[in-house]
Amino acid sequence: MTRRQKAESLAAVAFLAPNVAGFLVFTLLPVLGAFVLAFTNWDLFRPPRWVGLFNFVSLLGWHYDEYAGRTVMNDPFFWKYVYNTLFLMMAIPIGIAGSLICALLMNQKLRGITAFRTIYFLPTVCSGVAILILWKWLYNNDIGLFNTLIRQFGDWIGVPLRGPNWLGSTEWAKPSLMLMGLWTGLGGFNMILYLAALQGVPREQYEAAAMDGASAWQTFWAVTWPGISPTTFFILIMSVIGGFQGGFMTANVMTQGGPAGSTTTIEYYIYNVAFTRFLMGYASAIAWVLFIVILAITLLTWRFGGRKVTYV
Amino acid sequence: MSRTPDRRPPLAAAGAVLASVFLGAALLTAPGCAPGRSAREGKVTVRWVVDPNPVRQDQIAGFYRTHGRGIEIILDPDAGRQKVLTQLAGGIYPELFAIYDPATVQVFARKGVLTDLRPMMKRHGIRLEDFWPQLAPYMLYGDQVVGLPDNCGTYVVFYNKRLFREAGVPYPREGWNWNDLLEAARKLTRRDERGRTLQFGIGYIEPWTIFWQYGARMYSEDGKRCLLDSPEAKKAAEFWASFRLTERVTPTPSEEQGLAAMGGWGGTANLFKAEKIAMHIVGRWMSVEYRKNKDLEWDVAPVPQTGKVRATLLASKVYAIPKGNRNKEAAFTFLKYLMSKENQLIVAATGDGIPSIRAYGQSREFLYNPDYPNERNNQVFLDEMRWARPPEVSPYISELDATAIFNEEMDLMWQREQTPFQACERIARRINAIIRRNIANPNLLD
Repeated sequence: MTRRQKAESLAAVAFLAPNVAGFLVFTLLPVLGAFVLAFTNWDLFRPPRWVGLFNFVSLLGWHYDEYAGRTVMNDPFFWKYVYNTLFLMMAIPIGIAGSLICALLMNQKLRGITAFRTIYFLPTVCSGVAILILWKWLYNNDIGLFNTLIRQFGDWIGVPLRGPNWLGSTEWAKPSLMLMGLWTGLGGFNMILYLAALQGVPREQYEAAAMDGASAWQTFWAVTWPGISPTTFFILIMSVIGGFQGGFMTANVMTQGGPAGSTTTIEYYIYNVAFTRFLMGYASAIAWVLFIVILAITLLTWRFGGRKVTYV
Repeated sequence: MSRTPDRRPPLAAAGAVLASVFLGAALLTAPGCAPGRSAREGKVTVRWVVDPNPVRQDQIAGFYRTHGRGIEIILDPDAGRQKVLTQLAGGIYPELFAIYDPATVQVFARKGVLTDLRPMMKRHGIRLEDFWPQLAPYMLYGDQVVGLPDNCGTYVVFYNKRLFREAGVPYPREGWNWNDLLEAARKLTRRDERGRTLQFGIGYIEPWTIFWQYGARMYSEDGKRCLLDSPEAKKAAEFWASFRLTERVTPTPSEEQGLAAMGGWGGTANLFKAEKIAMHIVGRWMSVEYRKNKDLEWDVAPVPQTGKVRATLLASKVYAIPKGNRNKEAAFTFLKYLMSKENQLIVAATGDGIPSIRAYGQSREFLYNPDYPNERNNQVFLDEMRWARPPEVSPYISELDATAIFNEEMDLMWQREQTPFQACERIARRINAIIRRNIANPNLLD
């Protein structure tokens, strides 16, 4: 290695050092600390007490309740919130498809297309809390825009129509949050990634497809879709990870996890256990279970989804 | 002339970046003032974590009047339990902080973070028996005194006299019952031609007054069983829910939000102030807010009765001194002032509840304030004290778990997905399962 190469390597290390130091101190150490804490009972005030697997058994186990005469989960809240989280994640494929459609539309050579891209991207750069408050009003059962429009449409066709209780009913609360998430996410980073991917598909392949007389639909499935598959794969993995880790801000601002706990996700549950009940050991155990689930699903996706990816 | 980048030493740039990072970090972590000392040398500060009620400024001014400026009171107007617990856990101790319910007092005390005030009370001549005895659950943990209240409030009916007159409804009076209240609420509820409610008879009612009056209890005496599945509780729940579900004289949360757009700001108190609801069952501290609206004609009446049990909710807050803080004496000096006649009369005069010490609660100053000549019925607050009860707690379940279950099941009831009877049964079943689990595994309790 020449002196110059050494100097450049040292410079690279020096430039990376602050970020690496930050990662070690503020991410890796807390993660490892949480792993140790998961085996303790700690409320921040008294010294942690080693309880072994107790937190994990309390979280994932079940017991026979002789009074109820049946087997019950040790932590019935947790499983309900796992279900909520998985339900909300059903919006992921719709969101990915929507982002791709947006990207295809934004990939046209039209006058003013940059302005359209900006408009679609706006929700991503707006304050999340402001957007949530805005949607809370849109969803209001009595004076919200949606239900007002539904009522007016009913008046127009001469049928009394009443909109759903969007955020107030257990049936509608989760679909309402999914719908809002789609609006926020369609023109966001996923669309930008797809735009970049679409512009990276070699032109010659499109020309070859055109010469072979392929229709637009055939061209999409034979050229575009394989060409952007690495991006789709990346977006899918990141969305699944984000889906498992999401839901805090929405629940905290819009619904407080209600009605009847129907919008409480695992993330919001961890927050409540840790920072309102101060059961740090138990919250760490939930966080580690979540980490293991995410890791397993990511590895499975990698293992089986990776085969479908075409690198051009 | 272009510069050749390969001649610049990259290490210098990297060094500059590193230096700025470390300098920034050093500045961010520079030690501040020592805890409990203000910037001006020698002056002791007392950080007082409490709600942002404007009365707090009067109380601080009163303290300076009587004690001079030797101790500086710094108001930290956010009494959220979460914030205080985080501060305590981080070793950043407020000198004095407010706790708003018996369950939270028990949580703090169990964690061993509250100072036992008995020795200081003895030294300063503050006697436990001078306080209203109903406040004991707020103040005591076992045989320790862990907090002292300067005010409290029995729940009574605040009503809008103008709306009553316009609807031709007689004012409430001693001896009225819940059917009288419901009848009044029906007449005071106004709807437009589309069925949207423009004015509600009564705001959201805290359930416990009704439940207790029906003879229901949340927990057994020993706290080992939730009793919400009793016939009395089911009947109470059915009546309580009828205000919203069948009579529609109480707004739903979304209706409250809707009314806010028509002049209120949401929340029962603000809607009462905006004359969007005619009655509000709450404690005297709301007078502070209601006095702000000069055009609001209001008065108070006792809560209605069922004829079975007389009961109403008693709310209070206690001030506690965390064990770790270094200015306990200064904190107690201010706490002692809060228990003094001067401050107790500030509480009485400003409308911030009932003075916590009986003698001042029953004083002439409390009963009548010439600055507010329309408030002639303050005796109602004292009369209700005879059967006022603090919220029930069980030592075998975190009140957060109990509240989460209660709210979840009641949400389903509000959505008409289950009846009040079913809600009560499910709440009791779920809470009892957790109580049994916690008795078997105390580790799961906070």
